[in-house]
Amino acid sequence: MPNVSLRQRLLLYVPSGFLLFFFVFPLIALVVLSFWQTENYKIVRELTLNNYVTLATEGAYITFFLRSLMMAVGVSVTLVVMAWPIAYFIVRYGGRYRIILSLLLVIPFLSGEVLRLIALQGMLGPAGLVNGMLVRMGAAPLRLIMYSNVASFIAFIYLYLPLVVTTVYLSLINFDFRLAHAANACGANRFRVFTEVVWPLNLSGTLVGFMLAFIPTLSASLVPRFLGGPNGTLYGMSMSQQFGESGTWALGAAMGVVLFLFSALALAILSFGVDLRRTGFTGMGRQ
Amino acid sequence: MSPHVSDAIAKWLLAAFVILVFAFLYMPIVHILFASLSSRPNFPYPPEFNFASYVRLSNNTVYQSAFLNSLLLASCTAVLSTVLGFLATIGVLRFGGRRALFYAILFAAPLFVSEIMLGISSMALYYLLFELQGNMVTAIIANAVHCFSFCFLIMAAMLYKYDWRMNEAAIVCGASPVRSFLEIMLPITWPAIMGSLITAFVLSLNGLDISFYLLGATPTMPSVAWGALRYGVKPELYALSTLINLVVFGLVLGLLVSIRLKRKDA
Amino acid sequence: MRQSDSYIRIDNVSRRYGAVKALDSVTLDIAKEEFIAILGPSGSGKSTLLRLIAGLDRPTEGHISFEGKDVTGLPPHKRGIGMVFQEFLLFPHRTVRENLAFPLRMRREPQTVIDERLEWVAGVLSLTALLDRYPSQLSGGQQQRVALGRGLIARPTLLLLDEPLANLDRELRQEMEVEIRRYQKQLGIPFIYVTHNQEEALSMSDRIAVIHNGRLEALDVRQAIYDSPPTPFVARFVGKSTKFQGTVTPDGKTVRLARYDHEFPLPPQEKFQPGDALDVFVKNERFDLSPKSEGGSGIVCTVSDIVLRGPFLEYILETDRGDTVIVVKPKRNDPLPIQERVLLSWAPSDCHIFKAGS
Repeated sequence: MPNVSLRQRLLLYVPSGFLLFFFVFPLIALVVLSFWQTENYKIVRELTLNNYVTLATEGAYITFFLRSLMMAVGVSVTLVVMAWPIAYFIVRYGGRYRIILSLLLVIPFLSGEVLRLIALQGMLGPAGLVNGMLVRMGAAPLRLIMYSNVASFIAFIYLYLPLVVTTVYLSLINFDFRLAHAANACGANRFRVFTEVVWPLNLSGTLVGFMLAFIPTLSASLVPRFLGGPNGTLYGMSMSQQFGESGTWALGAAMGVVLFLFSALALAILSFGVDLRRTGFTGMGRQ
Repeated sequence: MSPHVSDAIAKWLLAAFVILVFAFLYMPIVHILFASLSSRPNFPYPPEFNFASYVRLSNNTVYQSAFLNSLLLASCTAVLSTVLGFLATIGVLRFGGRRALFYAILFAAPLFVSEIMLGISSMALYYLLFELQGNMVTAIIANAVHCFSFCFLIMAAMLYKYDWRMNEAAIVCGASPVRSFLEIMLPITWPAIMGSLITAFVLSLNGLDISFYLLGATPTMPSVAWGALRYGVKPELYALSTLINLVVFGLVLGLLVSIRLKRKDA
Repeated sequence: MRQSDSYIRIDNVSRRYGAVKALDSVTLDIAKEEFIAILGPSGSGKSTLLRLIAGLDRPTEGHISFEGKDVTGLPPHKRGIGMVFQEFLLFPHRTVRENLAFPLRMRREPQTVIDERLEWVAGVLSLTALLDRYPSQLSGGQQQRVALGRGLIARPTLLLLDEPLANLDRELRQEMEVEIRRYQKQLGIPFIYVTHNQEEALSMSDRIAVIHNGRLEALDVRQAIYDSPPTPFVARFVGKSTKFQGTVTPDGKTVRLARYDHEFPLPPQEKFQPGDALDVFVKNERFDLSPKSEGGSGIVCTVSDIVLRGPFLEYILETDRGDTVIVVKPKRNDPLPIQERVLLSWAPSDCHIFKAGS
């Protein structure tokens, strides 16, 4: 081969360079911006901690943050609990319909957040299907699912379920179920087979699914703005308002940094809490 | 209870749950399909077949320009991110060596940063460096960062089992490297590349968060839809949403059929 | 071999990967119409040598020439070679016909030539009925024949075979060994056959090059490699043999074993000094075995088991020091019984003697 190292450079360094310039540098810019100030819609380039002080002391921001964190944890845990039986069913009993079932999960994911929220609002909104039915039957409309944190919660489940199921599905489909049979033959009952073999060996895939729901939920802005109602403001929504209506970019940047740090922290806790070898991780080598 | 019976019960319980979840995922989509075809969009039952909202949608000039912008954005993003993802996939799988895991994590990292963060951080960078408000190019690049990870993962998963020595086999048969790529590698890996192109296209076609901060006043379909939402949902939006769903469905179905055909061949 | 005979010349070729020397100054001349086996354990560098000849890799030092023309810098697709891989590597999206025609299309041969060669190759390899199938519809043996056909169809300067039989079952392998050797004699082009399987190397090739730790350990006709291995490694690796340690007695005429009460005369052509420590290799089928009750000299052993291998018997012997020795003998109707005490010896000309640790 003519010069393997040149090809190697081209193949690995071009995408890495792309990410460096357009992924890492922007995040650095955000950090820099968060230490500056915005006054009257103008950015003042002086180092200051004011933004962080504001975020740490003003009650509203703390409330938004805690609400976001609770929402993200609740949504992600619920999704993992829901995703497992679905993925398990498709892998074990899907047979030749496996591909179709897994693609049916992908289709709603691909239609995009805005359109999916419109569709969901068609179901849950004041004039939506559920309340329409209730009103027709002479009942009062269900307030719980209109403009509330519950509505946001349902929306997050609706938005990210395909992503989490797909991740767990990909983990399970690469799992060798003969190992479960082996454990069974060793005398483990169904519950023990699951807790001792199936779950630990698919833990890393499950954690990836958890994070893929946790991170966008933590910084979500569309869902709470559209469905959350008066008490549903989340951190990401407040952040996007700093960049939009209020024009306080520097404060928004600081909120972005906080969100990024917490996402990274969650990722770090989960990945350091897991001994990869005990999850059957064998590196990138082919089996 | 015999294990056979309890197995069957477990299977049917799971099946019932799966049906429930698929209904949850698809009911809204079907509901707005009916809503878009009805003169009574709030409660479109029994269904009608009234295309008035589609006609209004097609006559709306805002949607027309938004559609063209989105098409341009999504096409460029799909090609850019697939090309980069393809390079990254080959790089990691073939030349990664001991650093393969490091590069794989790097290339998947954008998945772990939410779209809104990608949008505002890119905006911050362009603003700090160039005092630039954002344009189509910056939006394509930022969308490509997000889609790149999906492309990389899709192609890496499907190329994982590709035997690189297949290219060598072609070369020792007398094929030039370009020829061996075109005649051997490309046809074999085509489903992976198509999957990546479709995913990136559809993601960037429908993504709001990234483009919202980087496109300034240029309308795209999600941003117009978002704008319209503030004034209440209109049947045109249902029509738009239904059309997009049909396009996505068609693309995925096409991919599935092409994979099936290929498998039948081989 | 004289320079003029050399059709393929590998001249002092080395390949380094960082600090690791995968191949170290290998020189090899291959004649036209020669079947040469490159034999070595895994990781010995034999596959590296094959890749260098194919042009899939470039040597760090040295030159390779085909028919007197230096091809060291030439990319593989311009070398006019054929190659058969262990995993066959048939193109899954092309039919057998398209796979076979691929090298001809790459060489821009006209359709008439392609048809003619297809007919020839399909006839020789009995592939005519399979031409419109896809590789996934073929058995292992059929895939192997297609791979061979694809290597041969363009009438290459030489054919490289990279363990092509490793993925076939034993019976098919032995059949293909005979076939491949027949094609080589018919075509009259050199076949370079890489394998870690010494039986394959011995059954098919004219000459064998043994590679060990990146160096050319031995190069000779197959009979010589088997009967008089030039190095201890070759003695151990080619054929199944047992190693004993011994020393030359003070008179310089006898070898005395270290662990056993047995000695045998040092063959006159061996030049060792009195007191030299020696490694003695005896091929398992060259041992003499006699019941202890008949008397004589040898290593005292007990027959612990007998394994029947077709026309041969394998006696599993246990020495009084607890070592296991395997002796292969033609099958007889009255084998030595299990638990029999026997004497193990060999004719001095049937063993290979090296200085210890060499």
